[in-house]
Formats: sequence, structure tokens, C-alpha cells
Amino acid sequence: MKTVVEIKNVKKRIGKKEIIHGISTKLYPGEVFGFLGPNGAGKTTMIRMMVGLTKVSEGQIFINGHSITTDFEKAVRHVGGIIENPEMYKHLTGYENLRQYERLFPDPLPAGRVDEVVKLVGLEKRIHEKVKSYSLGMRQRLGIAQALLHKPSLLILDEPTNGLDPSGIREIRQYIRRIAKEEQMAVFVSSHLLSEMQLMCDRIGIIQNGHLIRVEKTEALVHSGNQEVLINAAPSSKVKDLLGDRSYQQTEDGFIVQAEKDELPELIRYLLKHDIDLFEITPIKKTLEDSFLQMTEEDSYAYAQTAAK
Amino acid sequence: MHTLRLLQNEWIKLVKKPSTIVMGSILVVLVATLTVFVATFDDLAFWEFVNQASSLYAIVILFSIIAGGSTVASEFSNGTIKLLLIRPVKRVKILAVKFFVVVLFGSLLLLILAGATMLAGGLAFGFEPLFINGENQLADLGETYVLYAVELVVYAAMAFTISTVFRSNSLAIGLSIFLMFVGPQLSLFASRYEWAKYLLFANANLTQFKEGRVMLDGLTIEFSLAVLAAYLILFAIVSWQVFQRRDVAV
Repeated sequence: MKTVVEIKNVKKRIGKKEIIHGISTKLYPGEVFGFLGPNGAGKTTMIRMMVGLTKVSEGQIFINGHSITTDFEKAVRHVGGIIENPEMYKHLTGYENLRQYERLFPDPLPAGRVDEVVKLVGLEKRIHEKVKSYSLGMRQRLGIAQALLHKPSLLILDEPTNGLDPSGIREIRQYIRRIAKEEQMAVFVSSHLLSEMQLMCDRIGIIQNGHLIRVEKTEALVHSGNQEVLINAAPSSKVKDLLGDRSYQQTEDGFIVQAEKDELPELIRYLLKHDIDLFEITPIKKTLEDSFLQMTEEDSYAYAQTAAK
Repeated sequence: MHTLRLLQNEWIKLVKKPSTIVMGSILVVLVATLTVFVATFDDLAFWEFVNQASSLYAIVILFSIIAGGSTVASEFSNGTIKLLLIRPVKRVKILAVKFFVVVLFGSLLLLILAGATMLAGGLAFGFEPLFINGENQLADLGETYVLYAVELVVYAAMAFTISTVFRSNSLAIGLSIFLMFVGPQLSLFASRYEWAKYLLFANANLTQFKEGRVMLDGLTIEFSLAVLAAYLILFAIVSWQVFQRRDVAV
């Protein structure tokens, strides 16, 4: 498959301190790739390197086959983005702002492209007003409009739903998914909001302390880790005995037991054979948040261990 | 041509700023006030007035310093630099275009000053013929303004460089204005040292040669132009290198 972005063992050092420790990954057309990590993990630094705002200390980033370091203009020609907040020239109108970005491209964009993107983000009514009168949501839309102006093959959005209300978030999310598929664009989204990423992304890379610790399909990530089931049964003293050395946790709703899916029939038969009243047995659906916390905890634990050595 | 469209961009950003419109208005009001003031106490000949009033060019330099000191720094403080530098344009080109627009703006203000003083002078004292004693007065005035323009370029470049390096418009503007006023005095104090004549401020004012009031002994216009050219090259290299290498993290 064609790759839109190839990140090869990228490192970033500021002074002597290394803040990105060799990240590699690829992005393909039509996919939404989530870059997930706590604040300060290196998401924005990575994004800044991808658009050439910050120099790459080591390694390489290719966009449509062009290196961002040695072939900046060709590489960045295919990139559109919002880096953190969509800051615009406040003393100009929304339309004038878009015209500014239009003129920054060496080969003129097709006539009417500006009006097209204005329509796309639904800003027709207010586009001729000065940006200082815009709400945050409108600025976000204008930001997306400028990012899409030149039909990029890579769209980079740093925390795109920052400061938006729930309906705005939903709108942006649906919109991002749609254009990724329709335009066969690769979308690189960063966020620390896990629930958000779960709904928006096809694949998710988890970054922590400058390491890309995992890249998985969203589905796989959500269902990874140990599966847990809730077993509501009585009498509880007997259940405890029967569970024996399985790891479990007693709660108000019953027992939360660690068990893989294929172990379940066996477990249920075993409990029923011993005359247990079984009221409920439910697999606990993990959210990305749970997986994420679990993973990053394991990771920090591993760090602490190595640090101790 | 792409460069022209980049120039258009920078020009629009500059002239649509409220502060720019204020600067233009202040200049016209100052000329009007000066004219009324002079006409009340004195009776000058037209060309005499126009030549004297041209000393208001210091205000134009001040405004050019403000424009030069904020063009790069304001992109940083507003965060718009992030959207400006992720386009297929070399950083050095953006920088060059920005400086060119500042010079263009300063030159336009000089033209406005010349036009306004001539108009106001004519209305207050009556117009005079172009040639007096066989000398073309307008050409003479033009020469003075060209010398002003060189000084303007030098100070604007200084403010531009400081603002590119420190990304702070208040520092760039404050420091440049301070140096513009204090610099010439400093050069005088330092005049007993040989190195004084290499100071930017001893050479920036080129009308000293036209008027025959040379600040330091041994200065000639050729020498001053060479020194100024060296400073301009230095400013260009410093701002280009700093801007080119800077990691943008705002």
C-alpha cells in the first residue's frame, strides 16, 4: 500500500536532553491515526517536526516520499494542519485570512476553492466578519478550512476538539472521518482525550515519555489486556471457595473475575455443578481509557524498575 | 509571480492594522500643525519651509521602526507564525518579503510627508517656481529625501533584526528608538577614539554631508555608505540565520 507518511527513527534533542527517543511509524491514505498520550509526552513536538516548525535531531520524516528536512517545500506542499490553537490574523476577516493562505502556495489554487472550503465548514454567513468577533468554535472551523484549502494528502490536527462543546466535538469528529474516507487523506490527530480518540481513529499510537510504546487498531487496543467478567452469584462464601486461586475482586454487584472468553463455559459449568445460584454473568467491556491507563502504568512501572537498577 | 503574491500578503497585513492607519493620520496631522504654527510666527518662502519641515522625517523613521520591530515578532506573539511557516515557501523568502514591505511602507510615508509639506506650505506661504537661481529645487529636495530613505532602511533593519532575534516587539521598538536618539550623542562622546567612526550612529545620518556639518572628523559619504552597507549585511545574516534555525514553539 502507498504510504503518505513515513517516520523513521525520529529523535529530538533540546540541548543535551532527548525528548523524543526514536519514533517510527507509517500512515496510509484514508486512515485516521490517533496519537495518544498524556500532556508532556511529546505529541506536539512530534507534530511540530512533521510540519517543519521544529528541526529533526536524528532520523527522517517523509511525506509522499519527500523528506521534510531536505525537501521541505515539496514535502509540506501536501500537508495541512492546525498546530494547537488555530490562531488567525484577528484584524482581518475570515475570508481575508483564507486568501492569505491561498497566496502562500506557489501554484495558484483553482478559482473558487476558497468559497468551496468556506461552504464545507459552514461559515458562509460570517466569513466576511473580522476574526476577532468569532467564537472559539468558529475559529476552529476556519482553522480546518485553511488546513483543507490546498487538498492535502496529510491532515494534521493537534487537539482538534480543544475548547469545543459536545455538539461541536461530534460534528468535527464525523467531519474528520468523512473527509478521510472521501478524499483518501491520511489524518493524524493528537489528543489526550481517550474517549474521543476511540470514536475517531482507525489506529492509535500511544506515546509516553517520548517513546511510541504501542501502535494498534483501535478495536484491538480496546479489547486488549486481561478480560474481566462480572459474576453475580450466591451464596458468596461458597463462590469464594470455588473461585479458589483465580484473581477476583468482590464488589456490591458481585465478583469481578479475570477470565479469558474461552475459559468462560468451563467456569460456568463448574459453578453450576456446585449448586450455585447464578444471577448474572457479564463480560466487562473495557474502554480505551482502561487499556491506556493499564498500559501506561505498566510502562511507568517498567521505567521505575530500570531506573532502580 | 509568487513573490508578488507574498508581498501582497504582507502589505495587506500591515496596512489593515489599526496602528498603521493611526501612524499615517498622525503624520498628516503633524504636518498641518507645524504649518499653522510656523505660519503664525514666521513668514517663510515656500521651498525654505518645505526643506525645514522635512525634518519631520524622524517621525517616519520612528514609524518604520515600529513596523520593522513588529512584523516578525507579532507573528510569534499571535501564534500565526505556525500557520505561516508550514507552507511551501522558504523561510528566508518570507523574511526578505517582510523586510521589503517595511521599507516600502517607510518610503510611502516619506512620500506622504513630502507631498503633505508641499501642499501645506503652498497653501500657507504660496507656491514658488521649480527653478530658483537656475537650481531645480524639487531635485534638491528629492536628494535630501533619498538620504533620509537610506537612514530609514538602516534603522528599520536594526529594529527588524532585534525583533527577529528576540521575538519581542516591545524590546525591538524600545531599544531601536532609544538607540536612534541616544546613538548620535554616544558617537560624539566617543569621538576621541578611532573606532567611533565605525559606529552605525555616526554614519546613519547622511544629510550631514549635504549640509556640510559632519559629525566626526574624517567622515566622508563614501566611507559612511560602506560602513552602513557592512551593518546591513550583518543584520541580514544575523536575522536570516536566526530565523532559519529557530524551532518554532509558541
